[in-house]
Amino acid sequence: MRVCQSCRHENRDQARFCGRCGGPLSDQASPQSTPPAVTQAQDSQRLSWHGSILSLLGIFVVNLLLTLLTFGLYRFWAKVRVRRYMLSQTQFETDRFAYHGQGKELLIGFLKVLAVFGIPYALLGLVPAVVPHSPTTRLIVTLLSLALGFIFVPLAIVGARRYRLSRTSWRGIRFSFRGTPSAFLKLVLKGSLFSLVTLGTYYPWFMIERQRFLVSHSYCGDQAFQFDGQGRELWRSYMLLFAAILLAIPLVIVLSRLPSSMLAGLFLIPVWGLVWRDVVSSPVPAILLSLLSAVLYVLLFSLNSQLLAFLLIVPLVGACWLWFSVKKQRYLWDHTSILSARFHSTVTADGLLFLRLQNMLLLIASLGLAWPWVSVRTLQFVFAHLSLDGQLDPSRIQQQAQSVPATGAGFLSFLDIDFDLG
Amino acid sequence: MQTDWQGHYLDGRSAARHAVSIQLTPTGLQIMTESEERLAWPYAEIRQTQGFYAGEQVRLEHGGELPEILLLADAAFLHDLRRIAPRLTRHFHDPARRRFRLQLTVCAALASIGLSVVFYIWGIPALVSLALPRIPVAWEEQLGAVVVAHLAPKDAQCSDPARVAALHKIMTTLTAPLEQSPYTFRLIVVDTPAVNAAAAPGGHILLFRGLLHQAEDAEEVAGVLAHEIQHVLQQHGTRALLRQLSTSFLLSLLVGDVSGPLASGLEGVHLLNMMRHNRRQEEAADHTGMQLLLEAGIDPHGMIRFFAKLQRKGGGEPAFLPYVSSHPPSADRVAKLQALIPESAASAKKLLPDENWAEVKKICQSTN
Repeated sequence: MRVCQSCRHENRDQARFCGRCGGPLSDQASPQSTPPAVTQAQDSQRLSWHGSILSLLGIFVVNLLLTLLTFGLYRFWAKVRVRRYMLSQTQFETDRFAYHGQGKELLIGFLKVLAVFGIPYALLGLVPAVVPHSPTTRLIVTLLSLALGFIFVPLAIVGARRYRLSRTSWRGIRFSFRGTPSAFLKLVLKGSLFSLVTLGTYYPWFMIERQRFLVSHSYCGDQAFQFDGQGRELWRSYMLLFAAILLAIPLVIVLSRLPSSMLAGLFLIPVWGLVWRDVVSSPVPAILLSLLSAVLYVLLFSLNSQLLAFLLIVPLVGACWLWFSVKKQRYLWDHTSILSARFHSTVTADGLLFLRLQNMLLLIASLGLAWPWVSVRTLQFVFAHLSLDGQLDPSRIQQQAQSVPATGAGFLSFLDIDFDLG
Repeated sequence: MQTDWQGHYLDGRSAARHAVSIQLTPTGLQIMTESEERLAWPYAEIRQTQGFYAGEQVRLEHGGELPEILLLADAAFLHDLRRIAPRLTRHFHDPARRRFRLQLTVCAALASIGLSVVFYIWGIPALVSLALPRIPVAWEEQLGAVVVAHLAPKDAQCSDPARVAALHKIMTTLTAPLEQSPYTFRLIVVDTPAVNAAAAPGGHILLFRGLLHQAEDAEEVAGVLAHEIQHVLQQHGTRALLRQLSTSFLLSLLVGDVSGPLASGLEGVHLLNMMRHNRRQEEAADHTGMQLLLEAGIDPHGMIRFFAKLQRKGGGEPAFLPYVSSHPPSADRVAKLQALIPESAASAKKLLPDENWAEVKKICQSTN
């Protein structure tokens, strides 16, 4: 723990600058005699979310009515209202973010996507009904649909990112994304091909390059975000996940020889672990979860050993995957920086698992009506585990307006469209 | 009333923020920066973009695409602003109206529920009834071709020429009174054991092998065919499809962004409602099917016999195919049919007098 000399904010040991006031941290031992004031400890986060579930629910209800009245056309404006609220409630240091998107723009973007991808895709789907059945036409149609989808996904990622960032600001400074769809498409094509040829071992490098592209072409005003991750640093964790999946097969065979009562009991260990972990902080989901576990045991006991062994492996492999994805998420954030400030993520696998399980239960129990609650919980979780450490001098961030890219240079620039489906 | 406020100013060029003092005047805001620089913002040129919810800072923007921004932490500022220049500041948010907004939101919730119910119960059926007569027959035929391709692919059709011709004779007799109809009726026998028959939109009638085997003479089959022909004439399949499409659309409006359990719950309600709806269509097809038999001069007792037989078999398999009509007929349905037969209907001429029915029934055996 390193305590800032000027504001008494507690920073992590590796930090070189204070997370709150941005002042440099010296190596001098932190003074034990003066613990930080309670009020300071409470707002020690630089990134935070301040929204209320009720306000979000209200927006949701009004959106629903207007969407019904306009036969769905209002959906784009509804999306804008939700995003505007979400970003207005997101605070970095002293200021809220702002969203500048417009429903009209989202509608136009949607129509563009429909024209460029939706209609060709629908037409391909009609081919088997018009042309007589033959294996070759079916193969060609399948390949074309796959190719269309393969091109669509990277372009959609770039388009959505570009639109959203260009419509987001902090302290009046617009964000922007300056990567081109064609460069991203090339990167994805190359990465997918290499991953395929190397039986998946190239994947960590592909993922890192993908992230580097997305982050380093993102700007706040005239300052680019930086990404300094390395594929080989994630390679080991990735290989462990790979090995775990391979080991799962012999494990199923061994486990299937055990009696089913014992196997059913094994299921409950992680569930109860989760229940006890958060029973104090959030009792209602914990009680729901424990009730569910009792039902689960009764159900599982009646199954045979082979099936149970297989079912046991699914969460085990799932846990390995979760562990890797959390590790990856933390790695990606910890290697993202802007100016001399660096992001830091403290997400844990069990925390994320518990959040997801709770959210799922909430949605099921409320027939989906708890949607605003779930999204608020998710946001609060994200912000509680994300910080930006180090000095960020706001006066060094200058506005830099991005003009709309010129069109008319080849096929890909025709696809060079701002759209947002998310 | 407070006319002097503290806030922060962003110039729209850099992310640095400057503490400023703000003075409310009857015509606009007077802003004084720390470096003694003065700015005057007339109220008409100011847009409010944040500060509509409790706890949210008030954000005022001045200028075009990349505006200058003024930030105030206290929402009471809006209150005093309205008192100083009530006419010029109508486009600013009024915190006093937040309670009213809450009431409006509750009303909106109730209105959404009411509107969806009204639309589901009356709106969709009305729209479908309006659209149905305007759908070109060619469209229905294409739709029917898809259904036929799905339920009766070429290699599952029984095509023994002599026996097909015999069955077509029944169809010809049956459709003779329907010269005005825009549909061309075609019969396809499908090599499947199901005791069922189906009507595809546009005029294809599918007869499954299992049903043919249960029939003891041509009159019994004619009863089923009359029933199916009425499904085509009354566009029941097309209607079901249109209803399904519009209900999915309504559902996607309702739960588009939410997904999951709510959608499945609503779909369950819809399924129950459609089953009720199907029963009414069955009765309509029974009723008009019987009338068709009488008009075509076919002995109506065949239909009664056959439906009663299906009923005795206790429903057989719960046939749940898309566009398929025949749920097992209930005793009630048979009784209703019986009531339709006039006293003088005994003089009907025999269908297929020159054919051996037991031979005709072997239509699917000879092809294999």
